Amino acid sequence: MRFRLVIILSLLLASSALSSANPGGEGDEIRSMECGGSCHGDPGQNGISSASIELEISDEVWSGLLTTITIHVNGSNPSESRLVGAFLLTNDQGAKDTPAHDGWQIIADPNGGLSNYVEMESSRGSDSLSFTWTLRAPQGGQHSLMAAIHHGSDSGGIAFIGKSPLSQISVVDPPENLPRLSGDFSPPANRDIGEQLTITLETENVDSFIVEYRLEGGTPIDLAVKDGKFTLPVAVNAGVIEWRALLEGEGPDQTTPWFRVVTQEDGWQVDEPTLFLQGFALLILGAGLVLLQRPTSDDENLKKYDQTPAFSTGELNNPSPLPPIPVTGLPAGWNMEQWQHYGQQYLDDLVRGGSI
Amino acid sequence: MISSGTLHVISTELVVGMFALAGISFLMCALDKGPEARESIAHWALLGGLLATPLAIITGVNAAPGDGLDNPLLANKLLLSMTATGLSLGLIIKWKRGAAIDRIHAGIGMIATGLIMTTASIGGEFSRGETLLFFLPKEIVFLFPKWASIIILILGLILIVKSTIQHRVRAGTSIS
Repeated sequence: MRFRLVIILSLLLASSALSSANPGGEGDEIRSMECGGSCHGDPGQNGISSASIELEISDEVWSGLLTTITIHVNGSNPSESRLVGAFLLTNDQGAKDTPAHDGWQIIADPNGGLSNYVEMESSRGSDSLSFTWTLRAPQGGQHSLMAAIHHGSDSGGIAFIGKSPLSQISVVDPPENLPRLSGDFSPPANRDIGEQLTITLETENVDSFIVEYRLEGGTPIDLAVKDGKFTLPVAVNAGVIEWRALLEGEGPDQTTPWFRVVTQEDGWQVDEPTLFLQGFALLILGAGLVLLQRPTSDDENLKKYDQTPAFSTGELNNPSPLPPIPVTGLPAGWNMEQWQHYGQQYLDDLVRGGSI
Repeated sequence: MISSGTLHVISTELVVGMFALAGISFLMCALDKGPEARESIAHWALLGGLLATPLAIITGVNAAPGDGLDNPLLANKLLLSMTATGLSLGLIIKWKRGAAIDRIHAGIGMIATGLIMTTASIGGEFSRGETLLFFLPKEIVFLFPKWASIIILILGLILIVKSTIQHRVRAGTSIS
């Protein structure tokens, strides 16, 4: 038995794989490099990713205005879940490295949120991903940005990290008369399926503008603008639509970056009060069923200690029948109680010719 | 500063460890083997697991990405853990009332442990995307309509009240 147990335990241990990766991902969030060691078990045991990581951003951007940055990741060869996590960082020190630490403001992340770490699934066919952020540039000066990625491996044993080199970006103050989007304007980053999104463009130093949109990477199409408003086509399924504005005014004409509007499929939804009510009902029912369960052990215990067949109470209550008393009467010195118990033995001895 | 995720791991290990101990002790009770203290160990471990469960739930809710119950795995975790909690509470109350530990009692204890283990496994699948229980239909949530839940709730309350009355009658009889 013990030998079998050892064999089973050994097989179980042998079948497990030591992995520091997290194939389910960690979710989009504001994170420092390597999540401070919390995403992959031990950063010291991570492998170096063979993926190519490139940053696409203008060398020069206007201070306080919107710009986009794209991280291109190719050949990551991630785990079975195909998840690749990408960080947008300002340095590789592992602390105080989020864009906000250097004055960048995230307007939209690749998934339509406000995180500097996002996860996306890499397709099996191309194994390439592009992560695009919309940022508001910080104050003028030299700034740096870099990308880092996290992913698992096919075998699932090792977690991988990858980093891009630091990219230097000159942030310069825009000319006063530069046609621009208003400082208060934040482009919407996501919408629901079936939603027709109307955007009111807020501008400064702009005499006129035109807007065009495209499906991700497609050919630009002009949009009708009326009273500074334009409407993006209805989203019929999940995907990304991009739009940009061409601004004309006194200063040099400007073209905004492509702003992404992400449409995601409705997540799984449940009527939470109904679920909580059912959970509570199951709790009460479970407790009630257990409490009302009649113990079978009472009868079984009684049977265990029941010695009826071995020890008949009838024998106790009904003493043996009185042997016939000889015509000469009871033997000398005997009383009736003695006769009752030993009388039959006395008679048997008499029959055998013995004497008491 | 400790993140909710780390705290959740700690509290989950407390719950799973306590329930695992309870489950093994209940198994010993069912087999009628092991130390005499197995009954006490089973029920006290069950109680310990129940006490740690709220901490695990709170830290789990804080650690989970997104808002609310937006995943069928989370919904199933809720239903399984609530059922296990109900069974465990019933077992502990019954034990404190002095009921004998028969095989059905021990079997229910093992079922409660199994439900908690399944809950923990689903949690692992939710966070890590891996599971040994790949054969379970965890993406399907058996959600009753409200009226059905209310009927179940009333039924459960009736059972509890009835068992309490029976217990008091029995206790009164044994005293007299």
